[in-house]
Amino acid sequence: MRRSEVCFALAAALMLARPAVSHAQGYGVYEQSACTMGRGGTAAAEPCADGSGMYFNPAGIAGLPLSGSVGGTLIWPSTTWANDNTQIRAEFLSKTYVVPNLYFVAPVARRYALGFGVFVPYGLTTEWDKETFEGRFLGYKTSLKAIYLQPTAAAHFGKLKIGAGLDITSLSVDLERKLDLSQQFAAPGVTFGMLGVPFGTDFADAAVTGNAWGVGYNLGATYEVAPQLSVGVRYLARQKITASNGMAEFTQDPTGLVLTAGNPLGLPGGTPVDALVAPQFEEGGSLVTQGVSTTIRLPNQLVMGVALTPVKALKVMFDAQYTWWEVLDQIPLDFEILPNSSLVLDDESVWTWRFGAELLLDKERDLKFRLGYIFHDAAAPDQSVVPNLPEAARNDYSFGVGIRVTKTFYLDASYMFVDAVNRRGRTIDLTPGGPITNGLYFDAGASLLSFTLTATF
Amino acid sequence: MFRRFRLIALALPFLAGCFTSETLNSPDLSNNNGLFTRFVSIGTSISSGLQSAGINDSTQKRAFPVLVAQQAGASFSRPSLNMPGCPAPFTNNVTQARVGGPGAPPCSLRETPIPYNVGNLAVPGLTTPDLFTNVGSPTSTYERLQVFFLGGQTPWNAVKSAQPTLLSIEIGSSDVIGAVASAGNPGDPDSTTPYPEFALNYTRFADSVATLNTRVVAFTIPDVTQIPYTSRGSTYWCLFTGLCPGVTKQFPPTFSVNNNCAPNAAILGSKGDSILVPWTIGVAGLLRASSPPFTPFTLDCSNTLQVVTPAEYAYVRNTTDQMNQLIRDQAALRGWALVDAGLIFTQLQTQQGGIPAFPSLAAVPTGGSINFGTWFSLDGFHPSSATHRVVADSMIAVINRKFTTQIPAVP
Repeated sequence: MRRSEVCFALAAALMLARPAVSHAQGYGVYEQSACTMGRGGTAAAEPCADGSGMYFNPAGIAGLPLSGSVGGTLIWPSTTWANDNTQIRAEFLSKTYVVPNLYFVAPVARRYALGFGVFVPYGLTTEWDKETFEGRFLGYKTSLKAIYLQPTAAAHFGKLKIGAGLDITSLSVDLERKLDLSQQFAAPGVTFGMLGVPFGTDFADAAVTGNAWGVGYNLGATYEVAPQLSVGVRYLARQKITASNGMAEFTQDPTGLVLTAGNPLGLPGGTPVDALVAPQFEEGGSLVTQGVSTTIRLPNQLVMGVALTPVKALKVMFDAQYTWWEVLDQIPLDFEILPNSSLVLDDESVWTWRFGAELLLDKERDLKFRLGYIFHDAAAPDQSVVPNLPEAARNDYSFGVGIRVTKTFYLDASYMFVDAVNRRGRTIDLTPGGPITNGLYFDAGASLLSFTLTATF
Repeated sequence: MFRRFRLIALALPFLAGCFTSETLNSPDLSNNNGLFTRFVSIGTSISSGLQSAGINDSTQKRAFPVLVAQQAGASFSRPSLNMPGCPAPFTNNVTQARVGGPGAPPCSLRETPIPYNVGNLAVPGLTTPDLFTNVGSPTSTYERLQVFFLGGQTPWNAVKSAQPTLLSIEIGSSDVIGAVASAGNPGDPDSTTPYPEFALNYTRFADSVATLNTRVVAFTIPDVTQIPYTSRGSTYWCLFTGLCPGVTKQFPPTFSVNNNCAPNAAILGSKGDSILVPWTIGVAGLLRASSPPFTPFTLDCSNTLQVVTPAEYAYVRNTTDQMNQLIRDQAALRGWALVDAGLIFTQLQTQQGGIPAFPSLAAVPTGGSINFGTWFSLDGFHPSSATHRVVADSMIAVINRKFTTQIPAVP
C-alpha cells in the first residue's frame, strides 16, 4: 500500500468515526466487516480474511498475510411510534449513520501474527423530533459509542489457532431530553401539573454528555476438526466504564404560559410561568450547568461457531452467540446539584443465532457471493422499550459479494435488511400502579450497506 | 451436502416466524368509524360538568362529553379536580353549605397523576373573547379554572395540541348568561358579549378549527331566559296576590310584590311577563321575609338592581338569537353537525315535571334546599346529571345521523 493510500484510509476512518445506531440487540453493533455482514455475521469458526477476525475471533488473524483494511457500514434505521390512546404517530428522524472499522495485520515469524483494530461493537444513536415527539421527555436524542482500539496477538499450532486482544475503549455518551414542567414543583407538595399545567409542557432542554476510557479483552480460538469442518469460540469481556467528568447543561424553553388571577400560588393574574422558573437556570438554581457522573456497562459476549465446506466452492456457517445483557440493569446519572436519577433498563441476557453461506463463483477473481440470516430475541423487557432504545426481536437478512479488484486490493460489499417485530413500549415515565407500556413501536428495521477495502501485501 | 444446505434454507422461514408482533392497545372504536380516535370537547361550564355552583371529579365525570365518549368507547380524559372541588358544589343552596364542609379548602388542586392528554378542555365561564387568550375572563367567577384546566394555554392552543378527530364546540352560553346572572345588576347588558365581538371571535375560532381537518359537532346557545335561575315577575305577582287563574296566594305578609310585576293580562300595561327575577334576589328575599327576624322585602319590577328589565330581557334574547344564527351559518358553511339546544329545552319542558316556573321551597323549612326540578342543579342554571344524559343522547343522535355511526344512547 502506498503512503497516500494509507493516509486516505486513516482519513476515511476518522471521518467515519461518528456515532453508530442501534439496529441490533441492545446497543450491540455486529457489523464490523462487509464480508462478515454478507454472511449473516457468522465468523467464529472461520473469520473473513479482512482482519475483522480481530473482533469476531482474534484467533482468525493467525496465518493472514501482511494486510490492512478499512471499511464502514452505512445504516438507515426506521421506527414508528403510535400511542395507544391518541394513536398519534411519530417516526425516527431520517438520518444516515456510519459504523467505521479499521484493521492492520502483520505476520510475525511463521506461527504468529500481530494486529491492530479499530471498531465499534457497542453504539447507538436514536433521534426523534425534539419539538413534537411525545417521548422527548425520556430522550429525543441518545447517542452512545464505544470505540474499541484493540492490539491483538494470535498464533497457530497445527490445526489450533488462538488469539487475544486488549481492548482499550473510548466511550462517549450524549443524552438529550426535554424537561416537563407539569412534573416540577411550583410550591412544596404542589406540582405545576396539579395547577393544571398540561402533561408534556416543555420548559427546559437538557443535555448530558460524558466520555471515558475503559479496558477489556477479547479471546478466541479455532480448531480445524477436519479439512471440511472448523469450529471456533470467542469471548469478549465485559467492561464497566465510569464517566466521572460528564457535564449536564440546561437551556430554558419558553412556555408562554401565564397564571390567571385567583391562582393557588397567590400570584397576580398574568404572571408568566417562565418568570417563575427562570431562577432555576440562574446561579443558585438547580438547572445550572453542572457535573454529572455515569457508569455504562458493556456486556460480555460468548460466540460459538462452526464452518462446514460441504463442496469445494461452498462454505456454510453457523454461530450461536450469548450476550450478557443482564449487566445492563441501569444507567445511573449522579448530578452535582440535581437529585441523582437513573435510566432503568433491566435487560436480559439472550441468544443470537446466525446462519451464513459463502459460494466461490470465480476462483481467478476470488469472486464470492454470500448469504446470511440472523434472528435474535430482544434483550429489553417491555417496560424498558423506550425512545432511547426501542429494541425488539428481529430477523436480519443479508447478502454480499467479494471480489479481487487488483493484485493488492480486495473489495467486499454487502447489504442487510433488518426486520424487527412490532414491540410494545412506552414514552412516559413509569409510575407506581401505572401502565408499563402506552403504545407500540412498529415498522421498525434498518437497511445497512457495508464496504470493506482490504489491501494485501 | 447440497441437501443439507437446502435443509438450512428450508428452516429459515420457520425460524423467521419465531417472533410475534405485538399490537396497539387502542380503544374499541368499532361503532364510530374511528371518529372518536381523539375526541376533544371545548366549551363552558356545561361541557366541563359544573353543577350546583361547583365542580369536582364527581360532577366532571357526569358531564355530557364524558358520557358521549363512554358510549363511543373513546379514551377521553378530564382535568379531574380533587375533592371537594374548586369551588366545591353546594350541598344546600339556602345555607350555601358546600361539599367538604366549612373547613374544606376553597379550591382543591388537580388530581395526580395528571392525564397524558386531556380531552375535555371545557372551562367554566369560557366566553368567545377568551378563546385566544392565556387568561380567563376577568368577569368570570371561574377565571382561575382556566389555569387549572388549560394550564395557562389559550383554549385554541389547547385544542390544537390535542389534534382532535372530533371536536365538540359548546360556546356561547357564558357570553349571554352573564347578563342574567349578574349579581349586582341582573340583566346588565355589559355582562353580555356584544354580538359583533362574539361574531368576530367565533368566526376566527371556526376558521382556526378548519385548519385542523377535524369533524365538528357544534351546539347552539340555550335560551338562558328559560332556566329556573330566574322566574318571571308575573309569577311572583300571581303568587303574591293569588289573582291569577289556578294560582293561590302563597307569600307571607312580610314579602310583597309591586303591581309593576303583574302580567299584562291582569294589569294592562304591566310587563311582568317580560321581567326576570333571579332566585338569588327574589327567593332569597322571600326566605328572609319568611323566617326570623322576618326582614320585610318588596319586589319592585322597575328596580333594575332587582330584576332583568323588559329591555334587558329583549336584549339577551335578541343577542342569543343573533349568535345562534351565526352558529347555524358557520355549521352549514363548514359541514359541522349541529345540536340545537332549543330542542333540548323543549324536551326538558315536557318531561318529568318540566322546567318549573318557580322553584320548590317545600324542603326549605326542614333544612333542605331550594329545588329547581329534575333538570337543573342547586344553582338553578347549571344542568343536573339527568340533563347531561339528555344532552349526551341528543349529541349522539346528531353524530349518528351526520357521520353514519352507531353509537348507543346513554342507558
